[in-house]
Amino acid sequence: MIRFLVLLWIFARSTFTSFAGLASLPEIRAELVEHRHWISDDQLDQSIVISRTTPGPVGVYVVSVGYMADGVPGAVAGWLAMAAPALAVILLVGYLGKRAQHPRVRSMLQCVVIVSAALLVLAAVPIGREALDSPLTIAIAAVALPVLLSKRIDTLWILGGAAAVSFAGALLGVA
Amino acid sequence: MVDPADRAGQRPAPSLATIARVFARHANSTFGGGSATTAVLRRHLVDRHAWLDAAEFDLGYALSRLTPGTNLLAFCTAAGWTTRGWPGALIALLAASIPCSILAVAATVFYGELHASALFAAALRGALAAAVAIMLSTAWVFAEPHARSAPRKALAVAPAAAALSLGLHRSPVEILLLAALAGVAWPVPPRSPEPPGAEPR
Repeated sequence: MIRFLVLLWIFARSTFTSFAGLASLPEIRAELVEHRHWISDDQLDQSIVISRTTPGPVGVYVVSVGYMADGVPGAVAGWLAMAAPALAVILLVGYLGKRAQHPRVRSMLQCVVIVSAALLVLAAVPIGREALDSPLTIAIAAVALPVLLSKRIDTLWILGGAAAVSFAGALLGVA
Repeated sequence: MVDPADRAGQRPAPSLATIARVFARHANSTFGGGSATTAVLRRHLVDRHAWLDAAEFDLGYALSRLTPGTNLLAFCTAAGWTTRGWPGALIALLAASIPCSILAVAATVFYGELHASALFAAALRGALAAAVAIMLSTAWVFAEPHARSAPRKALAVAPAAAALSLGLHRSPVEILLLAALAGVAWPVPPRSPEPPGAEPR
């Protein structure tokens, strides 16, 4: 129980003071790897790989770290710390939502959305370098992009189809 | 994004079970991180179900980027709150966070087996290649309406953000806060009144 509470405190302190999925990583590493030795650097790396190879947000890595440190109670601590900060958005939406038509609020939202899009393109670059490592995966991305922009097919089918094509390519020795 | 109480009667509100189903399915099924998943949710929340209009979506998305923690979960919470108030927010948050957490635990347990499998690695590479396309299409879908309505602003802030990230290595939240400040300092022109006799939209 004590270990659960300590993990919850470490995770919550990290997630409530970070603003993106992996931004909490330095604090968690300092506490759990360097200070308490509850997990190793290898395990921390594994949790990051897991968060990138499972669907959903990369912030879910804290659940994996929690499981490595304390089994299911640790995973629950990670989940609580991952989910709880999200409730803060209601204060922002409640306050700014009523002022959403104000020219300065509209402009602020416009700028944040445009910059988010620019940051998203930059974030796609390292993933692209890692994932687009063969003619087959390049072809998958090249076909998927126009299909996605035309909005004709559900993304789940795109992801499933891409995985199936790459899987078949590996079986046939193409990839 | 208006107060949920003000929306009562304006649009049919989905049941909590429907909210749970939509967020559980679509917030936990996309690779490539939170923004790619948010783009998938946009299709369902705005285009398919019309639970949010485009302005409400933009408000929730922009503010979720400025909220501590995981941006995707903040977005889902904001969308659930707008749709059905506090119960909607809590259901959306639980539905968006529990399935991916269970998957993360399962992947942690079976990490060795999964990463020793060449076929699993190949399937994953294919999904990640599609995720790159999802991220690029997401960026376009989010930015395109604003780039059309405010092209000078887009031409100013997007390259500035790239320069701050690549050149000065500033963190995303610092860049987003600077973008918010730039937006406050550079207001959009007030909407011109409808001409007499114009059809109401």
